[in-house]
Amino acid sequence: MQKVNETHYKVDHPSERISMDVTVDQRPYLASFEDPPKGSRWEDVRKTPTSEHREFVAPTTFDASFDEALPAASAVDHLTYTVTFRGQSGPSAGTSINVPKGGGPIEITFVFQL
Amino acid sequence: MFVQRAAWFLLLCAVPAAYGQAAQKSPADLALDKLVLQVKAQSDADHRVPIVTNAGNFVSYVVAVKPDAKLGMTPAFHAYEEQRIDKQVSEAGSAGGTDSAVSKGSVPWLFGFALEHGAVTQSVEKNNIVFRGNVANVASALKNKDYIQSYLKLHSENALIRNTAAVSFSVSFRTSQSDQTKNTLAGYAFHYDIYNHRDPRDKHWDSLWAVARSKMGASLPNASGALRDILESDFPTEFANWKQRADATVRALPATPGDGDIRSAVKAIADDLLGIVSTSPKVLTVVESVATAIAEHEQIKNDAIATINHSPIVSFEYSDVQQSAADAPTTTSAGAVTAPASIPNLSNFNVISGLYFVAGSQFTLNAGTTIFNSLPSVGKTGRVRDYRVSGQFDVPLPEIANIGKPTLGFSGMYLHLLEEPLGEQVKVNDVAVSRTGGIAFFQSKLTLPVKGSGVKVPISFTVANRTELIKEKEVRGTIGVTFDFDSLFSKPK
Repeated sequence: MQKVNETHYKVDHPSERISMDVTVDQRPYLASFEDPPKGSRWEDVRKTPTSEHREFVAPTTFDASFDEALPAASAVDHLTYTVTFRGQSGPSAGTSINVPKGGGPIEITFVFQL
Repeated sequence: MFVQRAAWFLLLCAVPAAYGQAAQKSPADLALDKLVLQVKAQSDADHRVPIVTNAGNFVSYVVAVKPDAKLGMTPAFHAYEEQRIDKQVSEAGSAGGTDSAVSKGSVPWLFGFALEHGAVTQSVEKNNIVFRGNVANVASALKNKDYIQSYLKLHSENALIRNTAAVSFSVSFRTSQSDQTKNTLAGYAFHYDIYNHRDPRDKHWDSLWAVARSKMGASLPNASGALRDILESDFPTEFANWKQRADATVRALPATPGDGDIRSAVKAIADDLLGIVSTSPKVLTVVESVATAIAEHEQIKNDAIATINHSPIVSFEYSDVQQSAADAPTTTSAGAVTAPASIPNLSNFNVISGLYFVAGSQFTLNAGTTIFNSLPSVGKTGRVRDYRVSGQFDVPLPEIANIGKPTLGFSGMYLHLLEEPLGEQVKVNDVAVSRTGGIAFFQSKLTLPVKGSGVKVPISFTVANRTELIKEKEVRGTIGVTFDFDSLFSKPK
């Protein structure tokens, strides 16, 4: 798997298995993912209060939604989701999404193509 | 007298003037505001592009601008965003120089500053400067050099450090030039959060958020994905070209764009998308389904936030009050006043309870007692000086354009003086007079924020049956300024 840009990735071969790990730097974790991803399905889904692990078989495309619940009076003005993808070969790659206070949810499309 | 009149004038003028000038933003403007926030929060152009090339992020704007696409839908715009009114920057309510009837349950996370004029129960109006902070949080912020990282680091520490972080302090100083003493320290206080889970980021709410996530499911990304699919199938060329133009538009922004630049860019991208989707009733139906999914998502989040905001707060506060001869008036209508030569300092113990009321309002209840730190060598003065109970009802007012959300507060206090307030009787025209008994007062307070700055200006009006040393009805206006330093340290690097 190779990173083309923040949300587009080139897979090395059909049916390449990709793992996705998403973490948020401040509770609560409010990310959700199109279900099922287009032309694929989610496998091995594991969640914690601040993270999530999913696996899927590429190629596929899916939308993701990232939200926040920062207290209005907090001086912290954004939180950050970090998304990391790992293919069967090549280095891991990913992106980060800053969600500003009062600025969620943010919709992002992730594309994995041959 | 001038301050009293000035406070009255401001109190009477501020509300109608501010509301009269307030311009209500349209749903389309609010949608653009949110897009500006989203784009501005990203670190660079590469991270801005994914936001402006996803049509789902423009749904609120499309729904707002295209009237026939609304079909009764109300765009979801963070209805849960309520002004937090349980936070205290100024002196403890029981301290001598404060213009507040009560202490609040929450204090600034890092550092706060207040300049106050007024002393609700005392006979001489004081000017005090108050510094309020949290030792553990300041140390963590200095060590980690990043506000967010210091917050996260501290909350991953052991129970002892987390408990230390629940303790905040305040120190106040007299500014009055007429003060007869050289000592400018007016007092100090410690505040401990016994029970405070009002922060949605608290681990205490993990199970609540797990339930909320379960209710949210994948309906929002599914709806957004459906919009992507129909645009790719029905408008393949137009949608691909729109994404390319959006990419180019956002990359043309300066490295650190201003809000105006971003707003122009996202409006151009949004209007460009509107030109495509408005031609197809089928696509507009999908747009409405995304808007519905956003509204449902927001409602679930609002419900969780409401549960968190309804949780009670219980805090304990200790205040040391340094009394001075300046606390006693030199004259009253009855004649010249002579204060005791030696005036003992005071210790106040206060339990604070914050309770959610209705429609975002907050009720704060204080109960406390004050003791003398030392007793006069003559006479039979008891150790306990007074008992006091006070309550405050805070109501958040609607947002004023370019100012922020003001708060209107109503409070009352009953203080029963068991002993003479200065430890010994004062003399009026050389005749010793007793000043024990009850003091009751009522206060209304308007707190005006300065948007995005952490600055607030409280203006209050107080009516009391008497003060500590003068048994005459008192009507007083006060004004102050507070600053929550947290806002300085939280800006993204």
